[in-house]
Amino acid sequence: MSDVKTHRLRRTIGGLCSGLMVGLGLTLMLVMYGTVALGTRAPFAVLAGAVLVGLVLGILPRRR
Amino acid sequence: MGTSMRQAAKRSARRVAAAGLIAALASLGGVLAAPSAGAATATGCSGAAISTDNDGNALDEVDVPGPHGTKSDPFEITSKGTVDWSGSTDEVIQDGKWTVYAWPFSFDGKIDNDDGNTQKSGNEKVDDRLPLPVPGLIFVKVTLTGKGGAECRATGWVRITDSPMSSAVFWFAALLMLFGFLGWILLMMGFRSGAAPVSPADTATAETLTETARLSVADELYPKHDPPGSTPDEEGAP
Repeated sequence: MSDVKTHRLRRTIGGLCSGLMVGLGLTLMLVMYGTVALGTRAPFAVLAGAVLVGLVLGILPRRR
Repeated sequence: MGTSMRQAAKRSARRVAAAGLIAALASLGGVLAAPSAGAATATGCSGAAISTDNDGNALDEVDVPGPHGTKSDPFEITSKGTVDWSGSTDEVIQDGKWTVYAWPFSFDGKIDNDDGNTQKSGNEKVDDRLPLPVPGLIFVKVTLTGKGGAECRATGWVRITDSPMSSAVFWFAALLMLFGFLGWILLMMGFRSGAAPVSPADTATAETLTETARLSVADELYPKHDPPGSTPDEEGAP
């Protein structure tokens, strides 16, 4: 039972970290390629979106 | 009954997760599809700027307010170039502050203007003002404020024309994205190739096999020991 919890926690943390990495990378790319053309809030939205996607992927139940 | 409830709960969790994913993508799309409008404008002042490239050759020029310096036709500069500028204000601006806001950077300075001039000119090296060579399209807002409410506001679009690949920031961002996407792929692979289902029959079989293995090991280790439920060997048997 505790193994399952540990596994879920690991997947959630993995999702959070990978989401942060993708989000930060995209944000920097947006800055490089003309970020502000999309509005100054766009990079933050991209970052938040990527973290959310990572979390969803981490939390999503495994198919059995 | 319990199994169907669990399956329903899983389906529900998947739906919630999918809805969250779609909502996140939709909100992102909304933000990205609504860029802020832009044009070279000025209130309370006017000005002009000429940029030179890395070799000192004239690159671009803009008048503010004016038709150039818009989002589709930005004022071009290079990170190693310079910008010669001149401007005039409608009112005398004294004892105030000037600010250039070019997200993510902003820099400012103090205005004394003891002589009460309404015209000024100067020259700026671009890399003196940018802490990092970040190419791209940037919305720039210049504000001058002085005592008594005198004010000048000018906005315009500037493109730093250097190649993004010439910047270390680009490669750092690319690496971050690469590792992040790898993480996502690993998560998705885990999601798609979960363990095979374990039915009650499988569990019973596994328990029987475990018990058989345990008895076999006991027989090997303690040959004279009679495990419970076993038939003792006859004495003298070969």
